[in-house]
Amino acid sequence: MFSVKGVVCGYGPKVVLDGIDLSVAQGEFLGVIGPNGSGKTTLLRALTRVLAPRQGEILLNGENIWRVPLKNFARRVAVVSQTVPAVPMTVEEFVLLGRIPHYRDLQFLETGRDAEVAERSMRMTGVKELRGRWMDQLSGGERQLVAIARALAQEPEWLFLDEPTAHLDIAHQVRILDLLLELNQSSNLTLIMVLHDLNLAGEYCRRLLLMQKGRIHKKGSAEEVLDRGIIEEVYGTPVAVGKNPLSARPFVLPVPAGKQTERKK
Amino acid sequence: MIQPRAKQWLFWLWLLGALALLAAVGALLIGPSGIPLGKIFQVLWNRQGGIEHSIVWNIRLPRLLLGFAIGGALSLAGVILQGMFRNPLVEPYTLGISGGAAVGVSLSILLGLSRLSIFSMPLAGFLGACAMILLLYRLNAKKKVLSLQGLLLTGVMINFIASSLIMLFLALSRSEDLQGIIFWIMGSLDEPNGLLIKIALVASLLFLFITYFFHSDLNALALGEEEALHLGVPVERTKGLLFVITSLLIGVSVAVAGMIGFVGLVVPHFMRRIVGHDHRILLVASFLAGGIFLVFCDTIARTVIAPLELPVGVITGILGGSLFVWVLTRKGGGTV
Repeated sequence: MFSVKGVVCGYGPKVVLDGIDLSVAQGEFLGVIGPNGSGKTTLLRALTRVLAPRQGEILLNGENIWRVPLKNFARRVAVVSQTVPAVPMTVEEFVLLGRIPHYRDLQFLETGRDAEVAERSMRMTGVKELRGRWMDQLSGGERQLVAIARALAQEPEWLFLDEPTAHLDIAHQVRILDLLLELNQSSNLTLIMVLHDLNLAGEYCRRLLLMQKGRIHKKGSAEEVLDRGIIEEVYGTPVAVGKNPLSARPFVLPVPAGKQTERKK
Repeated sequence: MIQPRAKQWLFWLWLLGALALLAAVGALLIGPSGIPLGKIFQVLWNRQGGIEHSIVWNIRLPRLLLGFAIGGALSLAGVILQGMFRNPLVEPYTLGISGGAAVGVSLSILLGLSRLSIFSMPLAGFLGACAMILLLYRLNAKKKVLSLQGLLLTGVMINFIASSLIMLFLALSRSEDLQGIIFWIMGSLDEPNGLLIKIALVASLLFLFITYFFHSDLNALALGEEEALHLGVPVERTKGLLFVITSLLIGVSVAVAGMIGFVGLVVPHFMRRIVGHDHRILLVASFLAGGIFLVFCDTIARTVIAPLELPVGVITGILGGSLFVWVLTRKGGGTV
């Protein structure tokens, strides 16, 4: 259980998160949405111990995350960042780096178990055939999958992702989110994910968190949050909301400025 | 998988070990008075002997050991800095620490302190380097966060200031001091004091050992600071410790041997290409290769115009620089 209590966070004099209260239970699939600059990524950075809160506290199973030893924290919480570094190493070497939190003191080589876990996470994400390829020669979608494989190699209970589908085509978007959904359901991995795409968020996430100007504007199910009035208020742009005929989930479409009159009629 | 990787690493270690032995034997045999191969082992084994014995034991062996120590130290410092800064152009002399050492040494020559004791020049160099480490740290560590970008920029600027100061000292100094400063700046493995050689050797081996405690941290830092943090690496502590370790390595080697350029830039690059980016093999491979490269260059430097000697920095620069350009511009050699 992650509990966030009255957290205020920022960079320099600027306050980005302004009083956040939130609790996330184990096994959830939570999507964080909101306009640019609303504090989504900052919330992720606060929850993953990158940025210390100025006020309030963040507890993981009742313990302040800043008191948990760093290695211990990394064994429970894994993060897939927005941009995966294109480092000159092979896919397999990259995934094996995910085992670093599990290294014992003075351990020099990976153990058989480290290799097994890396192997399994490459298999789950479908990047096993890429194992010998260089990271800087992969496509954006492949690199994202490899980054997820590395995070899984940490064997975390909590997985944070910052826009895992940015810059990907729809086939890759669906492939990655299907994979995440399956991980969430089959191995009870808790997922907290920042998404820009409201439709993907509505389609996949069991619960949504809509942020605006450093505060939580609304939390609830996709149907509750992806409401025309709420979205238009927060994003400040006219939208049309409908239902996906196949999945019965809500979708949000932007409405160009010239076409607004039609709706008024 | 894992086993083959470890096997490959062992292979590189054997190969570099063999090359090191070859470079060492070459350095002992080759010189103004050649010593035949058959005789070298006899000379090394017997405790006393004639002129060949004293050439090997008093001149060539100390120089060989110093070559390995300095070459290894510079190259190790280079590989750590390039890894930590994620910047292939950083080298031991980028951070301004060598500039501090150079100012210290030239001051000691200018003020006549260098005539007091054989240790005063290296000591002045080391103190200059330490002063610079403290200054750089103070300037760039704010609220327990060490800014690498700031470190790089201030380091480069401080080097400019240091070289201007040295030019000022050169302009002010008398001609015999002038030569002393210039020779020191050019760098040389000609170090008559046995104790200093031992210090350099012990320090560089000790630091090689210590850096192995950071092998997985360095591997994680290759992904960036935030990614390393997510892998449970205490990034700020690691950066600070590695900065101090590399600074001391640079300080010791510059204080004892002056500014021998190019080893710390070129050797880590080559080793990354050959043995890969994993610091578990890269650290020791760079250390060995740096030693081999410097000993090899020094052997050339003292024989091409014998009985005169070229500054070893001339050879490392010409040889290392042209090798580097060749590898970079070779077909398919794009990524570093």
